Amino acid sequence: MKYQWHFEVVWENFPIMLSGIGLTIALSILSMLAGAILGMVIALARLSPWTWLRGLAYCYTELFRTTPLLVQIVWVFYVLPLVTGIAFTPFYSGLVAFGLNIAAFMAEIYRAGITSVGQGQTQASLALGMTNAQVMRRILIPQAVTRMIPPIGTMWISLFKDTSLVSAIGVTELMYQARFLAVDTYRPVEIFTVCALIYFVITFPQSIGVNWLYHKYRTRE
Amino acid sequence: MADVVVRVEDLHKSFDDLEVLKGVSMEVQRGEVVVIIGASGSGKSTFLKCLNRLEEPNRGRIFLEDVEITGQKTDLPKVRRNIGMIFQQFNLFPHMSAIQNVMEGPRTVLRMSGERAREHASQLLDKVGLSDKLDVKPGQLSGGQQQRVAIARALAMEPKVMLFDEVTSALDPELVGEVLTVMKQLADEGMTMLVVTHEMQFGERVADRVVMFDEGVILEEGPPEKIFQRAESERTRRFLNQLHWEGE
Amino acid sequence: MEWNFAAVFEHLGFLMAGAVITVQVSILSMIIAIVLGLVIALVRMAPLASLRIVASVYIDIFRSTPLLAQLVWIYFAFPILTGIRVSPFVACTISLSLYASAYLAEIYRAGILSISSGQRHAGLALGMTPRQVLTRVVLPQAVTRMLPPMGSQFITLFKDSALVSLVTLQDLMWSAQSLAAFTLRTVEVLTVVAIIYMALTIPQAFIVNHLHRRFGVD
Ligand SMILES: Nc1ncnc2c1ncn2[C@@H]1O[C@H](COP(=O)(O)OP(=O)(O)OP(=O)(O)O)[C@@H](O)[C@H]1O
Ligand SMILES: [Mg+2]
Repeated sequence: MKYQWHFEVVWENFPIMLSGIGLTIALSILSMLAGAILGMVIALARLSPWTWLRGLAYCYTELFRTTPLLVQIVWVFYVLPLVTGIAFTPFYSGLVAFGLNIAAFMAEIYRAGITSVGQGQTQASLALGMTNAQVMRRILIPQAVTRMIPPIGTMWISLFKDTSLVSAIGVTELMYQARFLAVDTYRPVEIFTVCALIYFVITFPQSIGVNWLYHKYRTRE
Repeated sequence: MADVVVRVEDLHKSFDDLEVLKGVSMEVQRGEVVVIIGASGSGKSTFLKCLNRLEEPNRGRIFLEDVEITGQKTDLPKVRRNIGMIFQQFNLFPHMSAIQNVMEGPRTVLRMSGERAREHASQLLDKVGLSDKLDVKPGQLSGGQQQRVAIARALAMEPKVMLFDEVTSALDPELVGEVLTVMKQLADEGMTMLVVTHEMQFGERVADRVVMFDEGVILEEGPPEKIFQRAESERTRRFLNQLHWEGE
Repeated sequence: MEWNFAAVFEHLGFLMAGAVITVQVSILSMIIAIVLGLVIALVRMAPLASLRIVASVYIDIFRSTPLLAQLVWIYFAFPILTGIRVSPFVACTISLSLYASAYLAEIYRAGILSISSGQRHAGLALGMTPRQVLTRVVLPQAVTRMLPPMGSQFITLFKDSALVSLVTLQDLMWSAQSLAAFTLRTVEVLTVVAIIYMALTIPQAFIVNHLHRRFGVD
């Protein structure tokens, strides 16, 4: 059987899809920022001298790394209003869920970056009379940053694709609009094809960029 | 004269079940150069790291100029800035140029002004023969040059005593001399030094005293002539013999 | 709020049935992806440039689009295009396999490329054929390096499998959502389900950590 493609429905509804893209990008960027900041706090907790704080931070990262993202998103969506007593829009509960999730992964990236710097650097700095905070700020973090950049790039790409999951809680981003239009126009083939294509067009150049980052920072070592 | 810079009393250190230091006592006079020798695993590095508390001793006391530094309340950064340490692997900060490495201690720890720190640092790099490498990153320096920068970095803190842990072991043979020359110069200027090394010639020419470590205790010690030529213990003689072989 | 888990525990069997589907779809997809990924990796390193490009386009498509976009495409668009009807289970298994195979292909390739040329030269210098070098020298070393990332990939696949609930496959997540609708105890149900997922994932993470420690290069 030969399928008759009808891409007109896509063009007719393109403004709707565009608005979805805008939301996808906004959610990705805001989640990344929130996660990057919260992740730093958690990473510091994991590297702290207090066992109980390290344990707490460890449980946090493991919690978010061992459960499906979709479960986290739906869970936050239902729990947030109950805990805070405030009604969140789907977008904001999506943002909270992603912020918490990304923080866990970012914390691991930060921590791995810092611990990869090597004992010798810490010993040399302590031997000069630096405090632990000075060692962190002056010696470990500056060296760790270049090692963190490539994995952060990878993380960003996953995040960008994963934002499609918030369609499940009604955030009207690209995936949601596609699913809505697929039903609305009876043209799932065209709509879902174009939807995938849009994601590809935005993500693929970024993947190339991230590969380049890996290359750049590996040969530098 | 009793101008003791470092005094160690009955130092013990274990890693889990492994007892590495089993009661080491030592006194180091101002201006004295003590060379420490001993087989691999005998606890030399651990001993040095206990002196500036990079390793935490389990028992025993350490005094720096009559002030105990083994207490719970000791201000470690303050103690460490008075004790210079040079490592086998250099451990220069790779993200900083040579002069920035040397300035880092005075700037960050002593809060010295940038201008003064820079002037001081360039004098020190000049002293170790690297006045033409001020703005070069460690990655672009040879091992011998890196190690000389590391010495300048430690000197910048104007330490009361300096600890050298096999600082020439990671170097190609032709680069060893330039580092030892700098160390001899420091000794001649009256720096108090504890030097773990297997360079016999350095021991013979520069050391005031040679200490032989064996399985976490001091097996014997004395002036270099005595230890190198007429060691009392059989183990020391065997150890030195082996070194001569490897040195050929 | 007041927590009340009674309703959840009453229907724990229902959730467990979903968990079984989750485990089945994950393991089956992984097995298919391991084989498919190997084929793609080999094509990706084929001598023919045109073949290499095909493989790399495949890898890029599946890695640069969201799994959910792929899933809905295979579930909704594919049957219309081809007239082939498949059950949700089959559609989801195919989708997860294709997705994971693209990542596995890259893991295989990276593992093989990570073996230094010195190893290859040493084998050739002994008089081995290139094929012998691959099977006797490169692969035995590469496989151990591939194991840890393959383990991580399985965990990712296992967690990603929750997406199949969105196209009505009755896995653990789907069971959670329908039980939540039925009992109106959404938060409790989701909390229990999160714990079930953790209980299933933590042992896997444990094994993968062990693999990393044992075989990891850095
Ligand atoms: N951080 C540590 N944890 C556990 N064991 C350690 C640690 N550091 C050192 N050791 C052990 O303590 C013993 C003494 O080590 P140390 O480095 O002091 O020896 P050394 O005399 O400096 O030897 P070398 O000549 O090889 O440098 C060795 O058996 C070593 O394995
Ligand atoms: Mg040593």
